[in-house]
Amino acid sequence: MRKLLYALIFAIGFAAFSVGGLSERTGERDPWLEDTALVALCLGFVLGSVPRAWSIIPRAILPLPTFLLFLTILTDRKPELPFFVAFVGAAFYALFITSYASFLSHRNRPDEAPEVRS
Amino acid sequence: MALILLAGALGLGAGLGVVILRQSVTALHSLLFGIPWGGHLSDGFSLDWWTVVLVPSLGGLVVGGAAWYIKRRRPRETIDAIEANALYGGRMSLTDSVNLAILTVLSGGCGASVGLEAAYTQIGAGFCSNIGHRLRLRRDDLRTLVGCGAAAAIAAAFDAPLTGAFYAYELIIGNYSIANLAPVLMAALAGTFTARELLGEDLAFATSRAVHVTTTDYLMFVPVGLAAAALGMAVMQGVTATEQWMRRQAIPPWVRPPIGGLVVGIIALIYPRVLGSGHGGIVANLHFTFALPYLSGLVAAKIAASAISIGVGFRGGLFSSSLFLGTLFGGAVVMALNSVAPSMDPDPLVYTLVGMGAVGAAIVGAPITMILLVLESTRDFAATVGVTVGVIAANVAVRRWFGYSFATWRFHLRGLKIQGAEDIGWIDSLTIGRIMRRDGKTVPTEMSVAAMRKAFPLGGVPQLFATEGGRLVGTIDPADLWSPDLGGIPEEVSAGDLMVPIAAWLLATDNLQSSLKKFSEHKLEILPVIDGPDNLQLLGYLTEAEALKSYSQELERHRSDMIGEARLFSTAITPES
Repeated sequence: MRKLLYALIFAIGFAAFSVGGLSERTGERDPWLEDTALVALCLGFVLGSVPRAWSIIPRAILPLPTFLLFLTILTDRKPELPFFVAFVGAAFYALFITSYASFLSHRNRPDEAPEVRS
Repeated sequence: MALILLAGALGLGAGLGVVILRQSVTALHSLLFGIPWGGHLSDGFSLDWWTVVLVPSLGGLVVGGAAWYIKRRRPRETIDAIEANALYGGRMSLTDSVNLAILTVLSGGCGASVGLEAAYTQIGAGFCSNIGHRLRLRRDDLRTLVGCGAAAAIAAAFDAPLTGAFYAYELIIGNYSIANLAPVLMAALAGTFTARELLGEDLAFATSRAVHVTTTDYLMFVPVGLAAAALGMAVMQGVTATEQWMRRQAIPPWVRPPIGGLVVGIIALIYPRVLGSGHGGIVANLHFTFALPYLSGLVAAKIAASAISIGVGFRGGLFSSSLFLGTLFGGAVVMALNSVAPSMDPDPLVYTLVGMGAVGAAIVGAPITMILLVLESTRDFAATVGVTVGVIAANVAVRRWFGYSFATWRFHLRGLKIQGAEDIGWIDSLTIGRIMRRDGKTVPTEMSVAAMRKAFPLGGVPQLFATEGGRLVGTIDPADLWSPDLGGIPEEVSAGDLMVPIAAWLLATDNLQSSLKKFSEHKLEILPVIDGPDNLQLLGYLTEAEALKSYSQELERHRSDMIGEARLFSTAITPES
């Protein structure tokens, strides 16, 4: 339960990050699409962080909504970003968030307890 | 009196150090990002995307290379002021401190999301420690002087002498006493005046108006403080998790800062105010209000940027980052209250200050420092009382649910049992070699009881040590020489027949604490002290009573010195005297 709460806190953090980013856009908004991508990101992250083998499935799906959401955030900004920068940036966020979910999933497994420096 | 004057003189030097470091970072920001002189990276300037992405990354390459080079030349961990005072009687390396300050300036200068206060206190405390050590000051005076250096540094950084002084009391020295009041305050004042003389009067977080606080607001500050504590704990856990994550990657340590810099730069594409320590952002939050989604997002972004910056190896601390986070959090609370209960009409300024103090207290672990920082920055008593409520709630919650500040949490992760700057290192310096008795009597195993009776009359020695070829092999209770159950005639019974094989021993380099543990474990009243387990040469012996006496005398001496009254509790003579 505690491990799930940990993932939930991170998911809330990512959601806040994304919502804040969306609010700074200058272009038109598509609330339905953006909210769906946001929910998919959070759900995918929480489920992808669960220390179980099946969590690889949500992690496999997680990059897509993350990429779309951050591509939306990184375009239509001031100062404007070139599209390739927005594209690479969105790809980076997708990779980063997915690999963090993977880390949390593996970190929380009893056989892969985090090492403490002595 | 001499210590007070010395503290004042060194405070000037520490203040000068802070000015140099601060101006160096400003120069780097101006050079690398094109920020106007005197501006801050987190002011929210419109920066080119390539500057935002490339400068932290290339700066990370420089930091990583410099850190790698320093680590090769000086492989040991840099001892900070808290660790020095807790474990090493205030001894710090000036070279290590300068190296750390350079790395922090480079980190902050290239836009990493780290605070510079760690470098300020390190250079101030390291400088004072070095001078104090050269002057051969007593352990407690050296510890106080380390606190003076940190006090002067923080006072100079925030133009707030009381904040600097209480930073030293709460974090660096570990206690406040009449004895250390004058030197620490003198140093803090000297540091403040140095910075004022060189940079002009510059209240760190000056506000433009008085706050409006109602009774409902004071009640609200309690849950705000509790939520701030939760945020603080999340930040500390987040930094740890990120560090663990980075350590798991097969990336050489010198490559981590450029990668981390790139990540921070990409975060800054969305939230440019995460770059740098956050001073400009704090000031902006105190004077303007922002929308709730943006504030929430910036909180998450700043936590991520700080955690990544520290996790990948940029040097710096979380002091100003925690203040910035606190102002964002306070601002977000106001926006949330405005949406949920608009009739409350909360004053954004006071909630921002409460958030700043509460998150700062939760992470830094110095509640009075945070309260005084608000008082000295705003000069507003109503705001300060409000901040006090939030700070107390946050501090109690963190102590209850987490038990660490960011500094002590990191000590805990390194396996150091330091809960604060209280001097626990003296126990290690009180070695068995200093307190043992050197008049231990040895007898060869072949020596007869009759000969021993002649050489050692009853009650003459507390213990005899049997040796074979010069090596300690056992102990003999002298009372056994006169036992009616000797089991033979005294001329025929030898020391070897009577001795109890050696079960435990002490080394001259052991400390008193470990010796007391051995007495307890083996249920012995006397233990031999040897030169090493290979040679087993007897150097002396120690009784449990002597060990306990030395321990209580040393404890008393430290308490007396802490209070500033020599031999307050007794006239006992310590091993040092």
